[in-house]
Parts: sequence; structure tokens; C-alpha cells
Amino acid sequence: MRVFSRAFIALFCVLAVAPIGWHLASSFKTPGELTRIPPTLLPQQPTLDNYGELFTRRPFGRYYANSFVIASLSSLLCVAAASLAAYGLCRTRSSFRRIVTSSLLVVAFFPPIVLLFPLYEIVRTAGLVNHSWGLILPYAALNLPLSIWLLTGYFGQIPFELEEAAAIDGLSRLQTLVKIIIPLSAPALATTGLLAFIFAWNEFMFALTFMNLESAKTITVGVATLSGAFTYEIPWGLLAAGVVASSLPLILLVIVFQRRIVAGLTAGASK
Amino acid sequence: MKSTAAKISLWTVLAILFAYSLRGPKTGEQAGLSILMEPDGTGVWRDLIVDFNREYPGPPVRLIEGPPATNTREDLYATSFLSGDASYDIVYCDSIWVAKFAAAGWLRDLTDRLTDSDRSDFLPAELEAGSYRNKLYRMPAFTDAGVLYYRKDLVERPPETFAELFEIAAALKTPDRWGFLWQGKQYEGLVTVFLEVLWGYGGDWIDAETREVKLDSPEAVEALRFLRSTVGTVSPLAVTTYTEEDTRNIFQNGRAVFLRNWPYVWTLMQRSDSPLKNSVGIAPMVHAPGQASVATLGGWGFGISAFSRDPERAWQFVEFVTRPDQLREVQERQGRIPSRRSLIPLEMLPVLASARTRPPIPEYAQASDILQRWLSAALTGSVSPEQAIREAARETSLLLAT
Amino acid sequence: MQPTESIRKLRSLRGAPLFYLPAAALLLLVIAYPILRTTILSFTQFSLHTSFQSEFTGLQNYLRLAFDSRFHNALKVTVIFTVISVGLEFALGLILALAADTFTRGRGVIRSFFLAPWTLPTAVIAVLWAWIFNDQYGILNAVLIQANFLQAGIAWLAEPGSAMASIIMADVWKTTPFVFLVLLAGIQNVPQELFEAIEMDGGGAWAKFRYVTWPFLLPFVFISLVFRIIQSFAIFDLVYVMTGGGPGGATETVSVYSYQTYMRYLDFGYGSAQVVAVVLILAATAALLHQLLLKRYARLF
Repeated sequence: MRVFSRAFIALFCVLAVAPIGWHLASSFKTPGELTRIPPTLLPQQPTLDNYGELFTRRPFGRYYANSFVIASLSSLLCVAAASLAAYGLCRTRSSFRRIVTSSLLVVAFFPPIVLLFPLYEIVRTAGLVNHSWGLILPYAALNLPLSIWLLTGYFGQIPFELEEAAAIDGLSRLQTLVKIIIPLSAPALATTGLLAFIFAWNEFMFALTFMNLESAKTITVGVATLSGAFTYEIPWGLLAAGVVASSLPLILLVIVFQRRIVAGLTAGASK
Repeated sequence: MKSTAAKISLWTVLAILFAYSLRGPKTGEQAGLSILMEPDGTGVWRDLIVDFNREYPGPPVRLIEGPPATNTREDLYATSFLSGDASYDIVYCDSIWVAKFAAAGWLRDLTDRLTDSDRSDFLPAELEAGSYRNKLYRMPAFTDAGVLYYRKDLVERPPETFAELFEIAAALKTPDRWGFLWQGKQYEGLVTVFLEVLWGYGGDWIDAETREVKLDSPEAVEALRFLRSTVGTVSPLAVTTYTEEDTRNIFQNGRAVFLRNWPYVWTLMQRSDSPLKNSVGIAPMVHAPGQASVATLGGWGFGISAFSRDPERAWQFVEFVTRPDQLREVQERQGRIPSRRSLIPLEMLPVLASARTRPPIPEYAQASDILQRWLSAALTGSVSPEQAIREAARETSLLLAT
Repeated sequence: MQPTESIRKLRSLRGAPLFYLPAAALLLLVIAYPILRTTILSFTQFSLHTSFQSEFTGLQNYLRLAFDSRFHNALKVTVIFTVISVGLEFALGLILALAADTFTRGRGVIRSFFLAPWTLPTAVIAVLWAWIFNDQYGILNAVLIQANFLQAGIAWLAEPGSAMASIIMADVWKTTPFVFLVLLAGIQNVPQELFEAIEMDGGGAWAKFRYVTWPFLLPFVFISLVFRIIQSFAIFDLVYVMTGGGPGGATETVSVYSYQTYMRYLDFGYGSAQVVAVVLILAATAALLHQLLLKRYARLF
């Protein structure tokens, strides 16, 4: 039974990663090799051309920068706002807290497309189409429910005596939050920030609608619309390189922060 | 706790990110005007633009080669215009986009720019196709209308009615040669084919003036029945997956007697080494007895974006590229037929002169999609022609209800 | 401030309102207001025909929806996709979680492997799988032909049935890890004593599962099930990028149809009605599920 379990898990580990690996291999192949039937496994004449083309044919560097800036700033903003709200919440009457967290969870019931058009109207009126802040603010807001929920739970576990001590020392509530609670909650803040970052990086529908200029696109939209930009043959090598390039930062995040991410996802389960 | 150095570097990174985020999208935007076109296989557009930039010094016009699918280019234009940005100054415009773009306020009014000599040289149907509510928004350039190709060596006299077409096709069909080819895939092409048959029976689809849906009629059911009757008999079963190129290839290889397609096939055949060059004839589409033959008009032209920052320069280009000499050059290199009467080959004139535009309503895309879906369902046998016509008419009525 | 005063202030039952301000402002602007506006727009005609003015038309959009065969088709496609996809994810996720529970070491490595698909953008995953499913050069056909399961390659994305299968496969690949992780965490929280109790009564692995693991997991299953169903119903990225809703609308889900209605047809009022209808359907489904599972849950005790 144990052997079977192990084999099963090993099989699925491979299945989970194989498609990415396949693209990695394909990204180093020449166009001729990519259209060979049957396909070769490893590149026979490896080339970096696909990656080169990626940055010349399309402003991939810009895509990266845009995504990084948007994802970082929106997750920072989200964590900041969520910390404040969570701190306020964790010290209130539990019935009030429950109402708030339940209504926040209800928000998750709405498919994003419900928000699309009015948000587009707002972004357009504010002149933020094709502007980073046209996505930073919405992403920060969209991650708030989950973040507030996570942080309220974590803050609630911090012993009340610490805050009492701070009060005795004459600290205001804000100072208590910044000087005492935040440093103690570094792990939870990191988790929340990480999940918000990943969400913002991966988001597609709003980014597709609000950013139509090449110089403003995020990397996710850039890769997804890559093939549509080509007039003749679809450049498979280029697409593979795009997939790898856009996935790389996230894979790195997973390898480094795997524990944090899982902790965030399973927060409900582990309580 | 963090050291001071770490704190400073963290805040610096934050400051950099913040500064970058404040960059407006227009920073580093090049000067000049842009036009989004179809793939420029022959390079003729590139050359024309180079000619223009040279002859008329000023902000350069830039060609952006878009994807081949017209729907995708339409969406690219639409997303850009919807957000009010000036990415595209000149619009290479399909006839079915005119009503939508004009109604949305995305195109400039060109009515006063049209000279009298041009007004008489351009096909009236094309001028109409480029107008919305009696104002001109698109200068015509190229015209298309559905024609019936037939094998002169096999057919003495081209058929005039649907019945004749079917009869002759059935008689001449062999295991190696199909009787009648047309475009039956679920896309805009199917609508253009269906409309020719519908109008040929005396029916109509939508009255653009009154927004009334005229589809629910016995003529429409007959038209759909006719097309359905060809599937698997004189036309291959796969005809419901064919587009223009699929049918042209089969016909050009001598494996069909009749082909409904656009004029470009004629030009390509004449230039090819095909042994069938001289055995191919053109005739107007067939019709029902007592009715007239009507072809669906298709065409492309040039409009100017309402958001363009240099509309005068844009007009300079549009005026230049729609002149007879320039249109002739495209005709020679690409085989398209210009919308100027003076340049239309004689054999095409009767067909083009009797061509009819598709209803110039802003909701054309939606109406066409509804029709396509139901036509396709009937052609593949999922629903009866009666039901398809009835449902399509009803959904379209609900669409157009004010 | 006197110490006792500040402690009393601390213990006061309301948090200072200012703390809620940033979050509340964001939530109001980005979520509450748009939900309200979309709902209002659903009762208006707001399109090219009205020159982009919103005119109140009452229930007309909903009437139109009732007869819209394309909407019905989209609903059907979405339901089929959701049922099969979520079903597969949970089945697989559960089996994997049970299997992984037997590992004491190397859990971090396993988690890293499994997290990879979940962390990638869905839109990029669509591009990734489209290449794998390519009928001529795709690796899937190549592998199947080599293994003699197929004679000729399947045109995965060109046929309605196989296009649906492709979308489902890609989605299951991406989301099974999430279910796996949640269920694994749930399993690992089961107190050992309960297992020992079963063992003492002579029960084997199946008994352990049925009487201990499964009841324990049920709350987690329920919550993640509802969450996943809603997410699955709202699927957009995967379909839009991989098939665009084709061939011939065979994979067109409700979000894709609504997106088209908004951005291609510019029929904003009608699109809003579609979206509101979907939310109502989801709410009804969630309520139904709640009733069903609650009953089963109660029966186990």
C-alpha cells in the first residue's frame, strides 16, 4: 500500500511539472525542430534565439517591469490596509467581527466579471486606462477580504497583555500596531503579501481590459496575446519562451516560499 | 530587527517602484500616425506608405500589420477606441464595422471631403456602405461581391435559377468532382452566402431604417432549405466547415463544377498556372424564378479615428491612398477590385452594380452572430430550417427592440 | 493618560473607525459600488443604440435572456465544465492527499512540485496547454501515437467534445493542487487517538477512512467545494485564451459570453443582466448545496 502511494505521488509530481519542463525544452529549439514530427524530446541544436526575439519583437522587459510594479505595490497597499482593518477587528466584539468577516466572504461569491464594466467606467473617468494605478488599486481591493480574514485570525492570537503593556507605556493604538503587533506578525504578513502578489501577477481579465497599449501590458496579458499578434505562422518557440519567462518568477517564489504559501491557503484547515 | 542599511535600501526600492508606477502610458510614444492593417503579404501597403511619406513630408504614417482574422482586428480597434486613446489614427475599415464605429462616435465625418468627381466615380453602393445616417464615415477603396464561378467546358450556359443550378450540379457530379461549392462554416462568410440565396428568393433579413426583422418568412425557410439540400448531395458534407480558401483550392484543382466565392478567385486563377484558367466563367448568383439576382456586397475602405491628434494629416493619407493610381497599384499586386467605376473590370461590373449591402445597423455583429449560429445548426441537421429561421428571427427582434 | 483609562479604552468594544477607513474605502469603490451599478445597469438599455446613455427598461433584458439560446448554451457548457472539473479535482485531490499523508519526510518537496501548476497564471496555462494539444506538433498526440493508443492525431481544440476535454484537463491540472493541499491539511489535523481506537476495534484502512477521516474532512470539503464551484463557474482566462469559446460556441462559458457582450457588442445593459442572472443562479446553488450537505452531515452523527 505504501509503495503504491509513493509511486502514485511520484507519478503526479512528474505530471505536475512535466508540461512546464516540456515548454522549457521547447523554448530552446529552433523553428525547424519544433515542427518536426514526431517531436524531439530535448533540443538537438539548442538556441537562445527565442528568448532574444521575445525581448525584441515585443516589449517583454516592459511587461516584466509593469507586472512587478503593479503586483508589489498592490500587495503592499493591500497588506497595509488589511493590517489596519484586522487590528481594529480583532479587538472588537465577536459578533460584530463575525458580521464583517462573513460579509467579506460573501464578496468572494461574485465572479470578477460582475465588477468589470463599472470598474472600467471608473478607471476610464479617472484617466487611469493604460496606467499602473488603474490596476494597483483594484487588485489591492480584491485581495482585501482574504487578507483581512487571515490577519484577523493571526492578530487575534497575539496575547492581549502585550497591548496592555503598550497602553501602560502610553502608546497610541496606531503606535501599538506598528511597533508591537506588526513585527510579531511578520510571518502572517509575509504570507498575506505573497498571496496578494501572486494574485496580482496572475490576474488576466482586468489587465486585458484596462491595458491595451503594448507599453502598459502586464506579462500575463503579454504572453496570452502573443500569438494573436503574429500575422503568419504561430511562433511556437517564442510562445514557449514566453511561457517560461512569465512562469519563472513564480516558480522561484514557490521554491523559496513554499511553506508560507501553503500556510496561507490552508489557514482555515489548520486552525 | 532590521539594520539601518536594510531599511534604507527597502525604502529606496519602494520609492523606485512608486516612481515607475506614476509613469504615464504616453511617455516615449513616437510621433506620427498609425494604421492597423491586414497582413501585408505583397508589401504593397508598405510601399504605398513609403511613397506617401516621401511625396508629402510631415508626420510619418506607420503601418501596423495586424492578425489576418477580421474579427480580431475589429476588437483591437474597438478596445482602443473604447478607452479613447489615439493608438490608431487611420482605420482600415470593413463595411460591417461602419455602423458600429460611427454610432459609437469613433469615426470622423468625411461627408464634406468627398469631391463631386469622386462621388460619381465611386460605386453608389460602396458610398452607402461607408455611410451611417446619411453621413460618410469611410472612403471606399475595394469592393467585393459574391459571384458564381462555373466550368465553361462542362456547362454551356450558366444557370439562372436555384433549381437549374441544382439540376446541372447533380447531373455533372462524379465521385471525383463535386457539383456546387460554397462557404458553410459558422462565420461571417456563411451569412454572406445565405443572404444571396435569401435575397434571390425575394426575402429579406433586417430593414435597417425601421429596425424591423423580416427574416421570419416562407422565403427565408425556402432559402435555408435550398442550402441544406445541397449538403451531402451536390456539395460535400464537409461544406459546413469550409471557408473561402478551402473552396477555392478544390475548385482550382478541377474538382468542382460550380463555386460561389469572391472576385479575388478570378484574379488568382488568371495569374496561376492552373490549366483551368480558360475554362472558368463568371456569372451572377442564381435566383428564384421571377426574382432578381442579388450579390452580397463586401468591401474595405479608410476612415479617420475621432481621437486622432492630427486629423488633417490623416485625411491627407486617406485621400492619397484612395486615388485611382494608388488603388490601381493594389489591384495589380493584390488582385482586389477597386471601388472606382473607372477601374472595375467589365466582366465584374454587372455583378457589382447589383450588389446589396448587409444591414447597416450598429448591432450588426450581434445580429450576424445570431444568424450564423442558427444557420449552422440547421445545416448540420440539429434543428429544422423552420425552427432555425423562427428562433433566429425572434432573438434578433429582441435584440433590436427599442 | 492614566494607565487604567487607556486600558479601559483598549478594552472598549469598538475599534477606532479610522483603522477601517483605507480598507473600507477600497472595498466600497472597487467592490460594493460596481456590484450595485451592475445590478442597476441590468435594468437598463445601455448600448450603441442608446448612444451610450443608460435608459431604464425594466425587465426587458431578463426577458431577452429567457429566449437567448446562446445564453442557455453557455449555462449548459459552464455547468458541464464545473461538474466534471470540480468532480475530478476533488476525487484526485482526495486520493493524493490520502497517499501523501503516508509520507513523513519530503513533504516540502512534494508541496513545491504540486504548487507549481497552481501558482502559474491561468492565462499562461492556457497557452501552455494549447501547445501540448496542438494537433500536428503537440506532444500529447505524439505520446499517444507512440504508445499506440491512437492511429492519427486528434484535433483536440477543433472538435467540440475534445475541446471541452482539453479545457477540463488543463483546469484540473491547475486546481487539483489547491484541493490536495487543503484536504491534506485537514487530514493531518485528525487526532491520532481516533485512528488508534479504530485499530483496536479491528478496523482496517477503509474503516479508518469512513469513520474518522471522512467525517473530519467534511467541513473542509464543503467549504472548498463551494469555493471551487463558484470559481469554476466564473472561469474566463482559460477558455478565452485557449479556445475563445470555440469551436462554434462548444466551450463558451457564461463569463466569455458576457465579456463578448460587453466588449465586442458594447451591449452593456444586456451584459449586466447576464452577469446578475449568473450570480443569482450561483447563490441558489450554494443554498441548495448547503441544505444537502448539512443533512448528510447531520446523518453521520
